[in-house]
Amino acid sequence: MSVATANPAFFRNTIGLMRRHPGLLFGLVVISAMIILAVAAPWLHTVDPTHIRPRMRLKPPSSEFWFGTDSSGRDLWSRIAYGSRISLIVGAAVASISLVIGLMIGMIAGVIRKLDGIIMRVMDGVMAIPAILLAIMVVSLFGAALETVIIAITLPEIPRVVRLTRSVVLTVRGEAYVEAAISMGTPTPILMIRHILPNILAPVIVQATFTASAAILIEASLSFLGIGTPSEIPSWGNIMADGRNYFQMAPQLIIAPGLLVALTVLAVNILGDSLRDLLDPRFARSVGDTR
Amino acid sequence: MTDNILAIENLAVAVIASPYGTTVIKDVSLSVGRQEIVCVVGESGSGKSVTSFSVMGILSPGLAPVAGSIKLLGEELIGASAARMRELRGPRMAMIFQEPMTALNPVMTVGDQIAEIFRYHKPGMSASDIQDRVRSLAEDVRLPDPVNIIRRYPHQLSGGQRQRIMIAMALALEPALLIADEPTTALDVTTQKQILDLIRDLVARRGIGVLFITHDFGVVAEIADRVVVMRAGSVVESGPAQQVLAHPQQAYTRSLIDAVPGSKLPEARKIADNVLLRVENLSKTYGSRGLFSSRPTAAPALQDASLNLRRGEILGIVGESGSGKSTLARCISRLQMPSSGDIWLGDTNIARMHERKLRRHRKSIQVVFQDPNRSLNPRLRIGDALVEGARNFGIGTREASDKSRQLLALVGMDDSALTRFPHQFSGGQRQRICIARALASEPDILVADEAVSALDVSVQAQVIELLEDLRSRLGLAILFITHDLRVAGQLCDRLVVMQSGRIVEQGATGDLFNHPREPYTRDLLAAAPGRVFLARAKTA
Repeated sequence: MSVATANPAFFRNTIGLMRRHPGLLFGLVVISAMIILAVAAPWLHTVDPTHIRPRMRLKPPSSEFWFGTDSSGRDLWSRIAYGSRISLIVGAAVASISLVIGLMIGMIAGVIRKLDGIIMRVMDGVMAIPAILLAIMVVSLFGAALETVIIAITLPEIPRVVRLTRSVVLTVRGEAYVEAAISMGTPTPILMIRHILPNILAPVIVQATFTASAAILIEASLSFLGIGTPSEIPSWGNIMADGRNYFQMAPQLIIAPGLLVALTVLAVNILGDSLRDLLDPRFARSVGDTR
Repeated sequence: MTDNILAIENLAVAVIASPYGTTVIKDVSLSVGRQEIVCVVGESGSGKSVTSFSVMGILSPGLAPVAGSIKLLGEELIGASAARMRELRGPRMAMIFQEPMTALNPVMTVGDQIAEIFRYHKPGMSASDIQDRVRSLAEDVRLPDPVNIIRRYPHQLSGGQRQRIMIAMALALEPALLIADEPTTALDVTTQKQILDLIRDLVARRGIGVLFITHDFGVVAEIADRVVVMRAGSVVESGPAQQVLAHPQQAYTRSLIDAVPGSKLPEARKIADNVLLRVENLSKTYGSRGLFSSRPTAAPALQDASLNLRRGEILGIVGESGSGKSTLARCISRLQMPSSGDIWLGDTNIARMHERKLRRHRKSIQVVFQDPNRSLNPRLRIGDALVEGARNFGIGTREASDKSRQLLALVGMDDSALTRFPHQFSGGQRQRICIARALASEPDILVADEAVSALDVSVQAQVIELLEDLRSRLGLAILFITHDLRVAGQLCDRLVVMQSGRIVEQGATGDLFNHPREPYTRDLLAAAPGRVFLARAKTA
């Protein structure tokens, strides 16, 4: 028996929560749908997305090809379904990698004051490089592969997380409970993990959702420019890039993946917003002014 | 036409969002006449602020009056439109708050902020007329050099001056009623006295009525004509101030009056000459080291402080804000490194010891902070918070958790606290937990940095009792930092009086209270609210 069925109060609370934060519901539903689409792509009336049929080029939507076919006769619906995997992987990977690395660097900068100046100047330096240009450089240096694209997008996102983390660490560090822990002789690493980390997590997690949506957008832009994921792997950006010459004949080649990118980014952003509303009162209560 | 400015009858306020209609205050009746100061006294949660907010019509959303009436100069306020309430606020009634800094706009000069009121409410007034009014208001609230001071920004003024500006703004449109919500709680004693004098003076000169909210019976004794005592949303007792103070009818009122610290001085105790801590010529300068200069710019926060602390002794460090008492405490507990001087803990000088070596000595000095809401990690269960100190000093988990049980018992709490989170406790309970946590590493010295200042008087009395008890049972030495001379007088064996970073006087509590040598100490003593009344109570 699962926890949820064992506990009707859990259900009631969840429903109440969703009613108070409709954005949270919208975000979760859309993102869950995208995840189902990505995971279950092979079973959702799809064919091999790379299978080329020269005689079936640029067909309009039909019962066989739900969204029609592209200029090489590949099934657009299959390409979009499989392409969602790339977007979601990139979004999740970039968000979690930049979150973990940024958190570590940011906490070190916030706690060990001697390193603060150096770390933050390096971060300012990284932030000064335009994200897209840095990504283009990394991809052209190391070649187009999914991992390279993830690294290329993650790099410029790290300083944002570092800055946010550091600023929250600085406020939490001044809290009396941190000083009490110091006066009890708590070693610095334990201080960071037990007393500081749990109290700075909320705003950083919210930031991570925005990072995820930005990553999905940047990946699509990179692929559209032809420097993202290799063109044989279907991704929403690639599909749009392939379709751009045939926009007048088959506008769905751009419109369908474009709408999906927009919908996903919107859902992730709204989820982040409602997470902030949900987590912030708590955050405000723990570090807010009570003097 | 009655001569009451404000008449509240059977007022009840409830949480309207709640299906159970939880009442916050009920059956509150009080009145304020001309030239009268009515004090509403109670502890936090007694509903005294809710009462004043309902008069102003600024209850938080979710709260609403459900019964009774509030009449201002004969006009019913309950059910009055938002527009009408807006018209009344300012010309008929005005309010001042506890923290003047947050109530003032930081990017406007205070003069402009007063002038703004006239611009909104009296559009016909000429600019030079407004300037004249602003200046005369600044004079009215006894601001020094009014012409120049109104050109300053809020952060350039002291707390007392800011509160005077707030009062000037409140009086700008000559309201009949002034509501003062703990207006002196955030101020130093000497400033508090000046503000109380000012309010009394304004009442006499302008014939306004004042509804004065406070938790401090000392303040009541200074200022009130009549008193309304509230508890848990209801009026417990009311009557003329003299009568309530001298012959309280209710046990609760009695306990509040008794809880006012300083009603008795402790008996001088004999303390063995066993010096635990010796501080010599301690100084601290906050260096705001600029990008291009390495010279510290700020004035020293602490200069040449020397003191001794003996086993079993409670040493009070008294001073107003900015006197350096907290800096001294933070240097001694080594939350900050002093710029120069020595801190001898037994034979070791910890003044400038490196953090890694210092960790071993940290267990001997533990700190209890002012605000119990912020001194416990909100995401850590009490049990985990209590074992932390012991475990840092190499005590096993089992033993540490046994010990945390004993500690809780020691501070008068039971085991069920172990699995709960800090927000599930009241302020007083949290402060007890903080004390238990500080005791976990078996310190010799407890530094209590304003440890009772954020608590209600009755809770304050309990925590003070606890500290006294711990001192005698464990032989602790306590460094008790406070701005409240009355608290210090009640608890401490010896006192150190500080002013602008220096120690001006130190001596046994009784000597210092009865024969202060320095004029500053004398001022501090004279400013303690309720002094005359308490002196009478003491002799009675």
